[in-house]
Amino acid sequence: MIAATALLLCSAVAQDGSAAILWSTDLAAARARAAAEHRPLLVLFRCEA
Amino acid sequence: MQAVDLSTFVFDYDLTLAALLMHPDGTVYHRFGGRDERNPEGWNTIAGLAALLRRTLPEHRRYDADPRPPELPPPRTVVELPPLQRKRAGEANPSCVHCHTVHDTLHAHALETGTRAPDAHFVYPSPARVGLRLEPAAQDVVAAVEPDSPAAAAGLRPGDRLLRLGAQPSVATLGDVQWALHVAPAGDTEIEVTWLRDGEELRGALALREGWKRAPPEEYAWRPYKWNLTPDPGFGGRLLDAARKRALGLPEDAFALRIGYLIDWGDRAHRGQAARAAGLRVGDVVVSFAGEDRFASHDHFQTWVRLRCKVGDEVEVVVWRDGKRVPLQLTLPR
Repeated sequence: MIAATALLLCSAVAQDGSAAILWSTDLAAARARAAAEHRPLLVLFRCEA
Repeated sequence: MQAVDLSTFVFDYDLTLAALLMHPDGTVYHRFGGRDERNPEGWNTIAGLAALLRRTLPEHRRYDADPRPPELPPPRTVVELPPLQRKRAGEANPSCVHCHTVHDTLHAHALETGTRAPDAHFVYPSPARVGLRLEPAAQDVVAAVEPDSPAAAAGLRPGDRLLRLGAQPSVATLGDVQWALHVAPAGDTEIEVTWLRDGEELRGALALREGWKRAPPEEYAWRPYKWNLTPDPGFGGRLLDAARKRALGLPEDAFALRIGYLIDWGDRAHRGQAARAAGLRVGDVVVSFAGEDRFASHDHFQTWVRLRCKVGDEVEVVVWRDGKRVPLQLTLPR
């Protein structure tokens, strides 16, 4: 049973409604990249309790 | 969870799935993930998450154009807190830090430091605490309003779309509503609410009284947090199925909990000792506890004892032995 954290960076939504999501499991690096590229973060916590 | 900064990443740590949509400066736009006692999965759908992502992107662009970084407490992780430090120091292979461990550790730390606030264990209250039920498929929409509730008194009606609630500036999810209720005071308070009805923006306030966060046992039962609360009966087990009840001569709809263990570990061993002193033993079938016999599950039973009884209470525990009800007296330990 492990608590896992995965991060996705969402970019803008394209005209067809799709959006590019970049995965990372490095929270600090993802925050830094999101700040530099003006992206929002989706921080996902999954715990198999 | 051991490396996660609890000052920045604040959510209901009892959940097995949770997501924060946020700006890298720490501003949280929305919280996704939640459950209630009846519906563990229905609030977390792919379609719901996709809709939330689409909604959040323009919110992010507006905020990012003029960010106001929140003032957050200093960073801290759960493994820095003394209760968990002590626990892991005693383990040859320190166990994984689950999400619910955060609540467990914060609870223990608050008790140790004398900073625990009344009703602090009623975390992330259900909207039902203020008389609201939301639509799982559109979680900012009011599905029902309980008569004579704070929500009814504020003027809310089914079909209204919540816009703002207390400290949550933009409501999109059950998680947003629960967070707004979580950070509100547990005593007498008012939570401002804004909603949309027929294109018109309306405002009101939820007038709440001391104790408003207190969930009934059946609503709280799913939470791992309950295992931190006292008193507990000093034992646990499994509810018998209909066939086993019939075999014992019990009605099929009777409450029947077969004791599988008496607590005999660590600093909680005295609880099992109290149960043993009352005459309870592994294998006993409990059919009534403190006059109550309507428990839907083992979790419900354990929660009911913790929320409805007090340490030191002397309660009658009725067990079924050899086809007869046998009453025993248990003094609930700390």
